[in-house]
Amino acid sequence: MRITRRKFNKGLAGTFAAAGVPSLLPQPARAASYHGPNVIIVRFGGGVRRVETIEDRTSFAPYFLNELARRGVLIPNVLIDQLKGGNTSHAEGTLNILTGRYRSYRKVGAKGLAPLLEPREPTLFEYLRKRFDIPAYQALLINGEDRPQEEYLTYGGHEHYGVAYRSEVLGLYRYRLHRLQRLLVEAARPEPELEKARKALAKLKSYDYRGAAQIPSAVISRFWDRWRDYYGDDDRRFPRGDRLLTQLAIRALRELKPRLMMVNYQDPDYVHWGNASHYRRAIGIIDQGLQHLTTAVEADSDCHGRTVFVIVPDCGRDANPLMSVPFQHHFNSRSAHEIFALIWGPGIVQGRVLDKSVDQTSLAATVGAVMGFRTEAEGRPLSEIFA
Amino acid sequence: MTSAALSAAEGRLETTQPRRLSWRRAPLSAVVTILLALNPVTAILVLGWLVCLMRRETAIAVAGILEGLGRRDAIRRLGATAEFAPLAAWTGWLAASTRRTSWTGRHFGGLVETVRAGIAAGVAILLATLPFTALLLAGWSAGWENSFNKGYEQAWVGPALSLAGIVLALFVLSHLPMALAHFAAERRLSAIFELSTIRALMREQRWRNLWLALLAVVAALPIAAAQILPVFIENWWPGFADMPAEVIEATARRWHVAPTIYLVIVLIYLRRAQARCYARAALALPPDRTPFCHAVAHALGREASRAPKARAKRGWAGAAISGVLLVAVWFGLIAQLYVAQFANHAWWNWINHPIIGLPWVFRPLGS
Repeated sequence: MRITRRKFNKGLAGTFAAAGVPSLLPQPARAASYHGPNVIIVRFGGGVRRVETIEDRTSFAPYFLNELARRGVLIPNVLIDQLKGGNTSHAEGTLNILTGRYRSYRKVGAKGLAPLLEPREPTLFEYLRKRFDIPAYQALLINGEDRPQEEYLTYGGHEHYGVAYRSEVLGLYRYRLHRLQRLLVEAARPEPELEKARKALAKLKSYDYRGAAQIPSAVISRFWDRWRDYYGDDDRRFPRGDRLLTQLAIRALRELKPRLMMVNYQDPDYVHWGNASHYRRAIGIIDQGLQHLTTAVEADSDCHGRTVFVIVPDCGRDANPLMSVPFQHHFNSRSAHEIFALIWGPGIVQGRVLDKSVDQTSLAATVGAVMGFRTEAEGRPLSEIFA
Repeated sequence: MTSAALSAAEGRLETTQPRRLSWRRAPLSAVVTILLALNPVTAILVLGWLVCLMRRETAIAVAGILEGLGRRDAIRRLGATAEFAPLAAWTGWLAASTRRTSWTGRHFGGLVETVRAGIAAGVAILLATLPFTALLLAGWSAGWENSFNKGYEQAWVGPALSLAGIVLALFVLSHLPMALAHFAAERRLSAIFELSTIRALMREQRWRNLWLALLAVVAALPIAAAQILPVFIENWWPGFADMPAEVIEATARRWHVAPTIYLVIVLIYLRRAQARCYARAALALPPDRTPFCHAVAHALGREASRAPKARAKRGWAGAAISGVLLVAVWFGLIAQLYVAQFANHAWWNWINHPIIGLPWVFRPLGS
């Protein structure tokens, strides 16, 4: 599948027209079937700076810079708007990417230092699933184990969207829920073990105040059953840290054929604790993850030639010269607002550097336009990246 | 003391004029102290100078307590003794605090004393604190390293090291101020490790000791703030990171100098207060445990006859309450350290805290 600028603009006009006069058009009894490209959004997450990623002499992401950048359009100057009350952090940045809107969330609690944010606007998954007949398991979030609060990114509180159009989540948290439920159903273990499992399950469920994680999905359950068959019941056999996300994404590509998938890498954020090496190593691990993902897509006949990648950080990091580790945090400094993006795939210009400022919310609008649905994003779709 | 001895002492009081810190020299002395405290190497001199200051203050306090005199008269009374007259003079950077015969000894002996005291104090404090500071550093670094690598199998190691470090820190910190005062008075490296004497001293002045610990922990707050606040500099100075290098360097220097000035002032007050607390306690102990204070008493012709009466044996409840409170107060310093390190991490700050160790405020390497 190849998207041309003409197709892109035509599709854009069509979707905008349809969305602009919804009351005049007959509402389809069923959403349309989807024939557009698959999109994989990679959150180069945990907050990264341009210096350690896209700057030639100082990058710790050689594959991204030397290989992937040549395949598509690198946008070195993506900005997170400096809004009053805005925050350059992970949940906020991810929601900027997913909803295309700033501050489109409300705080519903906190887990330690991490706020629990619930989107108020529809996410890309909701837009996609409302517009097209795509099952939840093909609208996937791949989450890390340290961030159960990102379970809340699956759907927003918009009255016309919501839980019916949610995404599914793959992550260690979800797997543990599944495995404990299976253990209890199987009842093959001694009673003390089952009692322990019941308590652990209750504790895990307590993180999920909306109950979305507990809605059973047969396809996802079968995915986890296969995962369990492969790795066994010992979590220590899984790839660890952000490598787990890569592995989950690759298996999902093969087994679930997602139409829209977001991989939420996060480990560069370990530098909050002051070890600079964690930041640089985590960037390298994400870089290797990108290489594995690319290889997996190219090896899959269903994905090859019809997958668009969008790589974007959730936020930048500080560049504070008064600190021993200048990039330890991302506390709303100018550098924390300065990120980048790389988009490549069929129909997208290759080897181009888009030399203009682009807003982070434009990426949601662009994904929407690529996939053929309109978003309420604040940013504009980037039509100039298409051939 | 006989009336003849008293009148002789009064005669000496009238004739002896101990060197005092004149208003002309005070600013120069302060500037020198602050400049030396700006660098970790020369801060060893400041540490030595503070130790000398504590010794002087101990002697003055002994004179004041035994003679029932105010500070000024106690200094004059100390100046009238044959052995300890040099301690009546302000602790300078150059002049010796003991009698010297040579010209160089008289004019530069103080510097040698300060260097020796600084190195000895540095070694003593390092030996006393390294067991817990190293554990805190290792617990933090190894713990987060393991967390990053998802080392579930040994996930307990980092927290266990940190917990052990905190427990050890609370034990050491509870004793350290009194131990440092004992070391300053006795001028022996081993004095800082004479645990039974230090504990006996603390028992004698448990509430005053507790109060001084609270003062030290509260005094450490601005130092923690000086570490934390630069994290948010762009929130009140947008675009700071893009300023010319000279502007950044000048800001970093100012940011370093201001807490250093504060630190020097606070340490002078805290160390002297601790020395006075020590003197009160030391006089209640036998001469073989606190020989310096008893030697001063002897030189004053007072011996132990004017020493505070041995107090009745205290109940365990008071000891337990003061002990728990002391540990709780010092936990405040550990909590400050963890918060400040989370905000603005630097490995050095695990090893040294300027309020208890080397009087040097860490300066970011990047500046």
